[in-house]
Amino acid sequence: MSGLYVHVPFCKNKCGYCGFYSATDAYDLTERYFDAVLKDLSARKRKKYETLYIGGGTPSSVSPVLLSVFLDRLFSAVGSDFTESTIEANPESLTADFLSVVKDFGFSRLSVGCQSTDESVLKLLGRIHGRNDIFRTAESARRLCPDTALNLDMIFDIPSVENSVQMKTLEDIVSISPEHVSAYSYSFDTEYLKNAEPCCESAFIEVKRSLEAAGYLKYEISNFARKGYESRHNIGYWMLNDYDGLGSAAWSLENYDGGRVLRGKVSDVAAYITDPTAYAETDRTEGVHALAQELVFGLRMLDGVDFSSLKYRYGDMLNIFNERIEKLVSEGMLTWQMEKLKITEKGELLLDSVQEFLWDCLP
Amino acid sequence: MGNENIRNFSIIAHIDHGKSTIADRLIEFTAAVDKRQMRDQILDSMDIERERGITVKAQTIRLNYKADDGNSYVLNLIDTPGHVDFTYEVSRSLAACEGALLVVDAAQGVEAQTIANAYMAVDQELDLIPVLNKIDLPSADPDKVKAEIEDIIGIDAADAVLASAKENIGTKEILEAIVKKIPAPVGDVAKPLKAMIVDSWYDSYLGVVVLLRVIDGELKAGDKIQFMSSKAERIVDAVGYFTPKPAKSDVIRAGEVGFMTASIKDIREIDIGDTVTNPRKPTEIPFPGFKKVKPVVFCGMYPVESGDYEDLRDALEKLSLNDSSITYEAESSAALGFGFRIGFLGLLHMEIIQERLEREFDLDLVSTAPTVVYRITKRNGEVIEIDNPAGMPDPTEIDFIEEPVIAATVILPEEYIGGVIQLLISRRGTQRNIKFISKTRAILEYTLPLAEVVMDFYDKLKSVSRGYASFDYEMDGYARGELVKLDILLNKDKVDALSIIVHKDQAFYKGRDLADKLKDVIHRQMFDIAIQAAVGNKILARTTVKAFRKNVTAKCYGGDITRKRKLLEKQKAGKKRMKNVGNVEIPQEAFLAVLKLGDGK
Ligand code: SF4
Repeated sequence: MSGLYVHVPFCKNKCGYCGFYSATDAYDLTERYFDAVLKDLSARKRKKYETLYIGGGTPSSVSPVLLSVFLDRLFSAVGSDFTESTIEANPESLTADFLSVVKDFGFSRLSVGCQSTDESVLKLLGRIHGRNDIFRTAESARRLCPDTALNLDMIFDIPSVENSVQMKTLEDIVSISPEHVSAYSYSFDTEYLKNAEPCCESAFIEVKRSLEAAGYLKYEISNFARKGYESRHNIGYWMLNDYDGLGSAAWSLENYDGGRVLRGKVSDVAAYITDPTAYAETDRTEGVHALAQELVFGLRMLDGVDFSSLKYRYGDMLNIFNERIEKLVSEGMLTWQMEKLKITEKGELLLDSVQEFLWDCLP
Repeated sequence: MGNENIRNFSIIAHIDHGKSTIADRLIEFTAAVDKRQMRDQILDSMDIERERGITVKAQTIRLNYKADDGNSYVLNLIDTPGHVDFTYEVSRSLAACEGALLVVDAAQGVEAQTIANAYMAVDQELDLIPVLNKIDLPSADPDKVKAEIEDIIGIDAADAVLASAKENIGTKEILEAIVKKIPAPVGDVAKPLKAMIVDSWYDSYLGVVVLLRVIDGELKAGDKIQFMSSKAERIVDAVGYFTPKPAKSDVIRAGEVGFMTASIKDIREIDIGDTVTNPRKPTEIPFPGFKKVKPVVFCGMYPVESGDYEDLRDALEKLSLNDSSITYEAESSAALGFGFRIGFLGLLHMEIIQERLEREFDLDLVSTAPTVVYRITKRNGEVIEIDNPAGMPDPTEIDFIEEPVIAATVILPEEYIGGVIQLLISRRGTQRNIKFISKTRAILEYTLPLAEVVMDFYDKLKSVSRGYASFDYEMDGYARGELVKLDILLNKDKVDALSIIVHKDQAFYKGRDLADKLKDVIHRQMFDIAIQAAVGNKILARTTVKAFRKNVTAKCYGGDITRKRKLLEKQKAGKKRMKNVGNVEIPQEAFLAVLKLGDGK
């Protein structure tokens, strides 16, 4: 299993809460940027990928002509028979032209960043689309790309936003009937809203219940899908499978015997264009730390972490966690299902602490 | 040069009454130090001394002064530590002098340490010169303070020098008084060598340096000497004076104060108060020596990282080269792992050592609450001493327990008497005497268990008296006490490092208070944490730190994996000072929470 990720680091406007790298004033570099991405690709060892993900930034915000020229060249380099291919879009730029690119290149998933269906919340977040854009573009996506599965993103637990407002968003999203929903609890990737009063308890459980009631299965801490529509590409991240990330601020992961290495590109479009094959950061993890990484990320998946596989690969190293896992199981935060260690609902609510607790017993 | 032009003197004072600044002015005036080199409080050479404004080790400096009578004098200033923990060093320094300046703040008047130090000097038959410092302050009342000195200490204060070290007033007058009022040392250069060891310390350039007061005879490089108590013999490498930097000289003679080096590797070979003599021609009457000081306060210190254990051992080894008064012994704790039980002369001494270990040796330490040495007589007649509550035998084996007591002196304005007496009573004090030293100030004399002073006493005293009460004490033997060991259990596991020994009558409220304090410092974790306080099997108090219920996690995609790892590492590093006991993270403050126990209402 291996995935290919392409980062399209352009946005029309920067949302306050967003921690991803993107530039609002670099559209004139689009063409050169795509050239650089292809150069970046040519330096990679791997020539074949199971999944493709074009993310951002806002891939739908660049010129559809340049985008399709790029995809054409990309596909001729790595082929087009992916088991899953996803492209991200935002409602304000989800045009018919963009949708024809989605269709032409056979994307199997279209992921749309809605975040909220409430006008004032959209403003608060710094989004530049309105409530109606969401319904309108979802409808045209269905019409023009009937074979493409739809994912909608939403954010809950936004500081100062009433619970009823976010539950209305959830209801609206369910009414569109996408195949997949990503529902994120607001996280402080930036300082934005850091000092705002949270107006209520986390809606985590309520969100989960509503989506499950609407027929979505929760398969990861923030991700829900109708059966068979889970994002394989993203599952690859949580299972720490290999992936190549192309583009500015993109990361790649490579497993090797005894560890893994993550490499990141510079978070600067212009700098990336100058030297697209260089890495700005390298993060190597080996031995018991590599094991711990698999354990803590794997717990995001509700299907759990397969200990028979961990035992096979890491052997006795695994014992270091025994006492703490036992404690977490006795506290009802983890549970065993055959050889799989799974997070319980009580544990889901405290996943960060569970991860911390496990990580802290590393040498 | 004969003895008649030598004066050996100390300066004694209550803390903050200006001892060090007076010393600075004297040094400046006699230009022993270049103006440009002059730093404030030049005698305090350790960083920590400088920061805290107190002197820990005795220091000495030789001043040359041309007096109004036209003669030149050598004035040896032997500085004394200014804190009750180091009283023994004061008495050692005084033994090397014929006189002392008794510095008293002209606004505050006589305080507890003024009395303690002055009595010590009077006992050693020193001539005292009262110096009223800070007379420039608007609140200065020299007449009242003179009367206090006469009433309480019983010396004539009519000729007290009025000074302000800050404004450089009275400096020359002090120097003149030293020359006129302090007798020249008696002693005979012709007699066999007799020199008293005033202090010794380790210097990274010179090795072990021995500070001596030569009583009879003289001492030169190359001389063969003997330490009379150990009978060890050495060849002298060098002798000299402090100016204040060590300056070698050819000889030091009867009446003088100076240093000697003699290829001594280990400071522990030197007994302070021992007599140095000539082995072929020993002095007939050695100096009587000093009682060896014993640590009275103990605490456990543990490296946060268990791998730092050896580093801590090395650091203690090095520190004890400089400070032979600390003792240390390896110990282990189920909660804290391997560490040391360290003995100190008092609480301040403990803080200083702890700070030096962390600062100079870059160690992260967890310390347990300080305790005193309990003497336990078992039913089988065996007597043991314990300096760690964990070492307390089973109550059924104990016949009785004794604890160290102190004779305490508190001087305070009358309006605080009620509050302070209440505090002393709550600390199991018994009154020995109370008397007024002026219309508005009184002296309280109390007997108190030392353990009660070790626990947060100074802060309490300060707050009930708004800082106006001064306190001093001396050890006063042992007394029986109805004492029990109070244990703390976290999730039913006993945490040995949190046990304390308390009076039976205090066990209940101290147990409750400690459980509450721990609840405050142990932050909410993923699990409920049950805190219990118990004596034996009896639970006296219980409380729970509730688990937090939610901390919903962030999203995580390709670029977030490294970020998350870094976050986990950072969080882990943030817990460095925490100890993990039965899956409960205990912050360092928890081990000191016991210090902040209230006085029971
Ligand atoms: S949330 Fe999306 S649209 Fe907003 S700044 Fe981030 S990448 Fe751009």
